[in-house]
Amino acid sequence: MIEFDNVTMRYGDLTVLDRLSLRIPERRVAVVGANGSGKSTFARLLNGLIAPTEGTVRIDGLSTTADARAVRRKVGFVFQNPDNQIVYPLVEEDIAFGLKNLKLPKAEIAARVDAVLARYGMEALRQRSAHLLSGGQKQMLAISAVLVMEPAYVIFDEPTTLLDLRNKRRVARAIAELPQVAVVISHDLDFLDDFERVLVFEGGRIVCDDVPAIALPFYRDLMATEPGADV
Amino acid sequence: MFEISLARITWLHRVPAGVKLAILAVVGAAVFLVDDLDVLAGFVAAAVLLPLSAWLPLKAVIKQIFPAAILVAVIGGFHLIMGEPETAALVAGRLATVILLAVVLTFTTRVSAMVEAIEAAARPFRVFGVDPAKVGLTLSLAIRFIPVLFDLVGEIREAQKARGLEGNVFAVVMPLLVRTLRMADDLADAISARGYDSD
Repeated sequence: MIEFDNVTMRYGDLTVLDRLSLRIPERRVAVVGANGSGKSTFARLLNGLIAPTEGTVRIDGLSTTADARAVRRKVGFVFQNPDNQIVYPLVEEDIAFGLKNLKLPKAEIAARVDAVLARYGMEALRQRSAHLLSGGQKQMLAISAVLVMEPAYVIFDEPTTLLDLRNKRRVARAIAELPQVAVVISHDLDFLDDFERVLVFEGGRIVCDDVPAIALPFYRDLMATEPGADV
Repeated sequence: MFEISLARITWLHRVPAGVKLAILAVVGAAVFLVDDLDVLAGFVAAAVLLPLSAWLPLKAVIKQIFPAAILVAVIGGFHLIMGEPETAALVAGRLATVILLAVVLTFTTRVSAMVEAIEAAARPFRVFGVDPAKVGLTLSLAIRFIPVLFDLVGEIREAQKARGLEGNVFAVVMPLLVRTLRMADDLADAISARGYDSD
């Protein structure tokens, strides 16, 4: 379970998250909000990429600050731009990168790479240069490279923003089929209808925390108002 | 770039990455010590025969060599114009040998195998504080991001052209710097998120 206990995040004088407390036992959680509302900071706190200024974040009881290494094994992170997270030039080499960091035996690395490539229909691309892939293929590579590490939780930071409609659907389908807990930060409201819970961020606070049928219309109304206007 | 050719596994594919890298390093240094045109011609001939002996796809090899060949022709041409035909032949021969061997290496060797070989070669330098894993990661990132940065430059140049700032170097360099630094930040986060431990 994900637990935020009175978490505040500040960059200098700027408060990005303000005394956030919540528990997430659900398997599909969406996070929506305007640019700068604190949702990406929320995501980065989840696997210890950043430490809170105050308060604690725990994943299955592990502190993201004190047990950062263990938390990163548990929590995978897919970034918005796949180009900024692909490390190796070749597809299969990039997928193997995280497994090598786990110091797994070569045979297990090869087996896991084969399995993830087969699962996402990417066998034909295994020797391709990552640079030559399409945007959708790159995002699927980025997702595969995270899932091959078999994390219990996967955080997606705007995974469909740079994709066309076909690839958005492909990524949405891949997320829907995951056995893991998925926390998805997104501006694409269309594929959040089936989620169990939606958190709406505004000004570093959660202003709505509910099922999609309630939270998504709330968010649409919120975005229809001018900044600074009374909600 | 660095797309290993696996249409057919040749004898060159089977040579260990460390051996190929060592040959490249030794021959790369040796050709710059050779002043005899006949000996250099031998090196060039060997470098040409190497991809032919392994039946590497010629079209793809030529495509990779082409940009560097233009550079060699320009440098060689410059020396010819300056009335130094022997220097032109020496410079062109040395560069051609090294470029051909480098292309053969990238065509027949996985980047991960090269990285592992370089990490192994760097291990004795641990006593001087060198971290082999960091050397390997740096190399793979450099190889991976060369084409990404080329794309970025093209994208920024196009955008500045649309704004009428064609030929303005500052208008390209500044956004390139900002975006590269941002990309480096994201990349550092992504590497951490995938379990890389710099300690």
